[in-house]
Amino acid sequence: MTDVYELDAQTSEVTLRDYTEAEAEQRTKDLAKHAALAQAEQDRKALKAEVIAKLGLTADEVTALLS
Amino acid sequence: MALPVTFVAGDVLEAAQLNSNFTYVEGLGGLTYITQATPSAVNTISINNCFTSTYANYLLVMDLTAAVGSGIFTGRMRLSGTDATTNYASQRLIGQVSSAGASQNATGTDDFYLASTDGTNAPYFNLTMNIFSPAVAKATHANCLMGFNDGFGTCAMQVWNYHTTATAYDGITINFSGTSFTGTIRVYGYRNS
Repeated sequence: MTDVYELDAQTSEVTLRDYTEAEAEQRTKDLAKHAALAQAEQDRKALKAEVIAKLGLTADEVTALLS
Repeated sequence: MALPVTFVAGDVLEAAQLNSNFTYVEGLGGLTYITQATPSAVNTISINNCFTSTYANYLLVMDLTAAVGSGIFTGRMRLSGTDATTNYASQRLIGQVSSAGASQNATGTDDFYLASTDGTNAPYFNLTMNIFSPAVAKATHANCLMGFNDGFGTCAMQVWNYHTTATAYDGITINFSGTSFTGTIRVYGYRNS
């Protein structure tokens, strides 16, 4: 697998290459950000399920409430 | 001369007439193909020198054939081979299965927020991105329409992305946070007049 597909639109030259050092650092930051966002989304869904459980609603009732 | 110049059998074709016809034909299309990228099993695609002063606005069309792992696509404006990593913002409208929602800056302020996919549903992914004034030294805006399934159900989404840095960019990068993706990305320019 290659990190980067780089195309020059003027020459149509394609370069397949690894990340540069700076790009690799940015990639690490980006993946950490996405992991944090995914965790926040999971936390939000868990909280939602917890609230629904507290309310004692069925799945059909929740659907009706949110529709 | 009236365009297009038409000919009948036996006519002498003059260079000026032919050139006028070429100009005429070029003027018929409102959308001009610029380039296409066909990445295979990569994390990132960068297209350099696709934005120039020839066009004010551009269309980017992205289609996947495969992906490995689940992930989010994001984008960054690019100049002389370097991505801009600040001053982005986004507003999304999302409808997934029977739920609707809206959110701001879904992936923060260091990139354009685009779309998601997983490996199973990559062939159904599509993205169109209208990019306004990327090669002009002013803020760049992009209106994106996307359809995909990221493993949580079918999803239709519209995202207004904007990048407030007043720089004339010549390229764009699209990153995937999953393992890799394979597909086609084409760029077109909208004729100014």
